[in-house]
Amino acid sequence: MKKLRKNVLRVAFVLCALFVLLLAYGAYTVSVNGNRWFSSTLNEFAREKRQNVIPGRILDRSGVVLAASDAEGKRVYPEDSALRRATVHAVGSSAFNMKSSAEYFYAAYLYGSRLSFPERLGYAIRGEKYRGDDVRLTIDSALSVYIAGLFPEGKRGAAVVLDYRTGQVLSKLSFPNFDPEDTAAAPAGSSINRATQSLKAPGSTFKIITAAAAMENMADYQNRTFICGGQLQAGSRVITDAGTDLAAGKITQHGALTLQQAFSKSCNNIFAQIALELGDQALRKTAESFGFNDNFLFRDLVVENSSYPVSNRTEGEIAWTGAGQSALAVSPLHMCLAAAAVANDGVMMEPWMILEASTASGGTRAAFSSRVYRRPLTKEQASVLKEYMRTVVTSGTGTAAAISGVKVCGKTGSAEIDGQEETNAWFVGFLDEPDAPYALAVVVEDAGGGGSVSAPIARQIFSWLIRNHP
Amino acid sequence: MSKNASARRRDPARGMMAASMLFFFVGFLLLAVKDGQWQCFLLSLIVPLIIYAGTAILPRLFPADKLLLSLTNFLCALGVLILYRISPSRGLNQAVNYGVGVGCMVLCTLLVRYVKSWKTLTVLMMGGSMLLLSLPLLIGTEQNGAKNWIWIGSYSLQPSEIVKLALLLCVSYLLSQRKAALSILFGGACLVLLMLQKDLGTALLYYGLCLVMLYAATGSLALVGAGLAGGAGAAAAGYHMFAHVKARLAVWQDPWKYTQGIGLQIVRSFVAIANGGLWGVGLGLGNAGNSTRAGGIPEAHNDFIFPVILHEFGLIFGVIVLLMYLFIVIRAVMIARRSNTAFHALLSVGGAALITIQTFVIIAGNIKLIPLTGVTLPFISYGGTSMVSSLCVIGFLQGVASRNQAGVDEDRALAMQGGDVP
Amino acid sequence: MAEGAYELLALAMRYVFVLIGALMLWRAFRWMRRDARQYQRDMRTLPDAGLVGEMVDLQTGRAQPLPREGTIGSSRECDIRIKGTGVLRNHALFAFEEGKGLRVTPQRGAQVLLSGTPVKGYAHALHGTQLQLGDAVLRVRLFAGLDVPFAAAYQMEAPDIPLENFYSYEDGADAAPSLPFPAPGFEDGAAADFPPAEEPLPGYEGNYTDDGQMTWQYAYSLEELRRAQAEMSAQEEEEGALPYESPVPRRRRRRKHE
Repeated sequence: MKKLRKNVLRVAFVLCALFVLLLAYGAYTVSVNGNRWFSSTLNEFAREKRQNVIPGRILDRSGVVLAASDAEGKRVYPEDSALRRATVHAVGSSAFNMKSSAEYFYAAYLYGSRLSFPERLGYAIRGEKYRGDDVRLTIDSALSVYIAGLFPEGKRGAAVVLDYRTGQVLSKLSFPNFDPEDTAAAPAGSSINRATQSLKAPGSTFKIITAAAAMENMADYQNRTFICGGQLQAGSRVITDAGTDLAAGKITQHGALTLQQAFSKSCNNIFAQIALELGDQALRKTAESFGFNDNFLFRDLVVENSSYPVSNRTEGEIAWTGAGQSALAVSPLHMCLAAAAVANDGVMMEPWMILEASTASGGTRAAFSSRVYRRPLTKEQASVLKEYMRTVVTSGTGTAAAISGVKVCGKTGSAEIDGQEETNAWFVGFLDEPDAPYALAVVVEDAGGGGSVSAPIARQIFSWLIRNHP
Repeated sequence: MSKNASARRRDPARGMMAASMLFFFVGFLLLAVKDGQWQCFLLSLIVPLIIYAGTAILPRLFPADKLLLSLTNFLCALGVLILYRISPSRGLNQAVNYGVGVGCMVLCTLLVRYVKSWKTLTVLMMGGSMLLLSLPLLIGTEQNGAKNWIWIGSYSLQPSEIVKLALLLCVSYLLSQRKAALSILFGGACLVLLMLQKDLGTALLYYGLCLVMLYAATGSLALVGAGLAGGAGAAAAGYHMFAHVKARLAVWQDPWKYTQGIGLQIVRSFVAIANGGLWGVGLGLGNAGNSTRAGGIPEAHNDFIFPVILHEFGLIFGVIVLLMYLFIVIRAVMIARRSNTAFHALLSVGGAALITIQTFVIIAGNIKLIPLTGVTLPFISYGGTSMVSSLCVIGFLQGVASRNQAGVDEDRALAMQGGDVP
Repeated sequence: MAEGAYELLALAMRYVFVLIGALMLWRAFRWMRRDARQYQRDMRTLPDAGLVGEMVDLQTGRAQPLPREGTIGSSRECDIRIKGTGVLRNHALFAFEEGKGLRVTPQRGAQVLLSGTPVKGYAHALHGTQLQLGDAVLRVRLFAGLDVPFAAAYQMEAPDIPLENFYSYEDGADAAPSLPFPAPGFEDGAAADFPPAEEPLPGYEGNYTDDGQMTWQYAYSLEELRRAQAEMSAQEEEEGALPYESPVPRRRRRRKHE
C-alpha cells in the first residue's frame, strides 16, 4: 500500500501537469493569435452592423474626413467626387461586400462594439444613441486623388503605395472605381479591390524573386556570364523575349550578359535558364520565403493568398516561371511588398492600414504599430538587388520611371494573360532615399508593356512623393 | 448559540452552496428576462432548489463527500444553463439527464460502499462489457464517422460510456489482485472492439486510463514505456487505416485552409473565443451557440461547449471552470491516498484519471493543442449517457470516500471506548 | 425586454458571474486545505487508524505496524521490511479479509512457512501465527475485535486436558468451545513446543486483553484521549463541521467470550 500511495502521488502530479499544460497553452495561443482571430474575415460577430448606432468617422492620415455620418446614422461622404472615388476602395461602402475596406474591417470600432461598459451606461442614461469610434487610416487622400487622375481612362488595374520602413499603406486604389454616393451607377466588378483581391501573373516583376533565388543558390552569380540565344527550348515550350515575332522572323537576342544586365534588360531567355538550373524546389523555396503559398492572416488587411504552382511542373512550366509567367498568381500588393523588402534591407514589413482608433470624445481607443512579416533576404543580398533594380531604371527597361537627382529603383513587367490582346503592364519599384521611403506597384491591365505604360505613371507618383513627403 | 447551529454557520459547504444557488438564480433569471418564457423563470427557481437538495439534503441520506458534490453540482448546472442558452429544448433535456445521473450516482456510491467481494461482479462485468461493446457492431447506427451508438426505441445509447465504468471497476479489481496480465488483456480486447467501431476518441480514453492504472498499481516504468510505444504504433496504423484520422490531422495543422469544410468548427471556435475576451460578451448576447445568428459554431452542444462558455462568460471564467475540474481531480487523489485497500485506491485514482483525460482531450482539441476527437466534456456536454457515466464515476469516488470516513469513524469510536469494552 | 437595456444588464452581470465563480473556487480551496489539516490531526490522535495489528520480527524484536493490505519484503517500498537471507525484494502479499484473517500470498519464487507448513497459493494467518520468510521469522499480532474466525492461532498456555474430558455436542451449545479442538499440534493432548506467553513489549503502554491481545488503545491513556477528544470538539465548534457526515453509527461487532 505504501508503494501504491507513492505511485498515486506521482500519477497525481502527471494529471495536474496536464491541466497546467492546458492552461499554459491556452494563455499562449490566445495572447499570440487572439488579434488575428478577431480580425479574420470569418468574424462576423464583430462586424455586425448594429442598429441605433451613429457610426464613427473615417479619416485619412492627416485628418481629412473620408466618411462621416449624420444625426440619423447614415453615411455622409465628402463633397469632392474625385476624393470619394479615389478613396472608395480603402474606405468601403455598405452597398457592397468589400472585405478589405475600413468600413467592413474596422466595423468593431466604427459601430461601437468596443465601447466600454461605463460609456454604454453613460449613453443609456442620457438617452442618446451610441457613437462609434473614429478610425484614422494610413491612407493619404491627396496622393490617392493624384494617382486616380493619372490612371488611363477605361482601363482596369490597381496602384498601391506603401512606406517600406513601417509597412503603412499610403494608397490603395483599384480601377474601375465608383462613387459611394451613387452606388447604383457603379460599373460591374468595381467593388472588387484589384490591389489585394485580384490574382494575376506578375510577368517579369517576378524576376526579382528569381534573381534572389539565384543569389541564394549560385555561388558565383556576380561574375557569371549567361548567354541569351534568342530562343530557348525547354521541354515542349519555347522561351522567347519581348519583341520576338516568329511569324515575321524577328528574334530578339541579347547575347552574353551578366545577371545584372539580364535583370535590367529583362531577358526571359536567361531567367528561364536560371530557373531550369536552380530547379523547381529551390525557386519555390525562395518564393515561399517571399510569402507565396502562405496564408496571409494580416491583422489589418485582407489579401488573397499568392500562389506558386505546385503541380504539373513540366520543364516548360518551370522555365516560364523563372520569367514570371506560367501558373503564378499574385496580387499587386504582394509584389509591392516584395519590392519593399528589397528596399528595406531584406525585411518585409506587414502591411497595415489603421493608424489609430479614437473615441467620440477624443481619447485613444487603440493605437497600432508596425510588425515584421518576413525576412526573405539578407542585408547584402538586398543591397545587390537594389543595385540591379537601380540599373533597370538608369539603363534598362524602366527608364521611363527615372527622375534626375533621385534614386529610383524598379522592375517592369509585361504579363501575358490568356484572352487578352495586350499584356498587363506592371511596374514595381521604390525610392532609395532616406527621407522618402516609399515603394509602389502599378498595374494596368490589357495595356501593353510595363516600361511604356506603367513606368511613366510611377515616375509621376514618385515625383509627387518627393515633393510632398506625406 | 448551540454547537450545531454555529457549526452549520461556519460550514464551508453552506458558503459554496449559497454562491452556487445565487449564480444560477441570477443566470436563469437573466435568460428568462431575455426570452420572456415562463419555463425559464421556473428554472431559475428550480435549479437552485435542486442544488440545495443535492448539497444539503442528499448527504444526510447516503454517505457523501460534500465538496465533491458541490463542485459537481455546479458544473452540471452550468451545463444546463449554457445548453438552455443555446437551445431551450436541449437545456431541459439536459436537466432531466442530470436528475437521472444523480440517481445513478447514488446507486454507484452505495455499490462501492457496501459491496465486499468484487470477484463475481468483475467476472460478470467483463462478460457484459464484451457483449455491450459488440452491440453497436451488430445493430448500431453510424454517426459522424463512428459507429458507436445504438437506438433503443427513441433513446440513443452509447455502450462505450457504460463499458467505461465497467472497465474502471474490473481493471481496479484485477490490478488489486495482482493480475496485471489479465487486465491488459481485457483492456486490449475493449480497445480492439472500439477500433472496429471507429470510436477513436473513447479508445484514446480507455488507453490512457489503463496506462495510468497500470503505472499506479505496478510502478514499473518499463511497462508504461511499452504501453506508450504500442500506443504510438497503433496511432500510426490508425492514421493509415482511417481516412477521417488523416482529415482530422490535416485540419489540426492548418484549419484556415479548410474553413469551407471540416475546419469550420474550429475556426469559428477561435473567433468566438477571441470575441469573448477576458470577460465574455455577456450571457445571451453571443452568437457562438449555433443560434440563428451568423457565425455560430455548428454542433456546439457536443464538442464545442467550452468555447461557447469562453465566448459568453469570458476567459477568466473559463479558467475558473478548468480549476474546478482540477479540484475534483485533486480531491479524488486525496480520497485515493486515504483509502486502506488497494482496490479502492485504484478505483479512485482511475476515476481521477478518467476525468482528467477526458477534460484534457476535449479542451485541447478545442484550442488546437491536439486534433479533435469524439470525446465529450464531462458534466457539461450534452448527452444522457455521457452525463450519467461521469456522475457514476463521481459516485464511485463518493463510495470510496464514505468507506474511508466510516473506517476513521470506527477507529475513533473504538479509541473513545478504550478498546473492546467487555 | 428592450435590446439595449438587456445588453447593458448582461454586460454588467459578466462581472458578477466571474466574481461568484472565483468566490466558489476560493472557498473550495480553503475547504480542501482545512480538510487535509483536520485529517492529519485526526491521524495523529489515532495512530492505529487503518492498521490491523503488528508484525514482530523475532530476530530483532522490532514490531512494525501492519496495515490492512500490503507487501512484505526486503525492498524499501514494502510495507513490512525484513532483512535476511532468502528474503526477496517483494516476498509476499498480505491482505486482511473480513471473516477469514490475514491472507498471505507468497509471490513467485518466494517461500513462506506458515506455522511450519509451506504456503501454496495463499493461506490465512491469525493472531499469533508465525511466518517464516527465508531466514526471518515473523509473528502476526492482530487487534482485538477484528472479524476473524478464531481469536488466536494458538493457546497462550497449552491446557492440560485429557482427551476423555473432551466436550461433546450433547452437552449443549453453550458447552462448545470457541477454539478449534484439538488445535493442530495438540492431537496427542500435550502442549507442543510453543514459545511462552507474551511478555509486554518494552515501551508499550497500552492495555492487553485477557489472552494477551493488544487493544485499540495506544500511546495515550484513556484520560489523555478523552482530553484530546474534548479539545477536538472545541475546535470543531470554532471552525465548523467536518466535510463528512457520518451515516447511521455502526456498532463494532463484539468478540464472543467463551
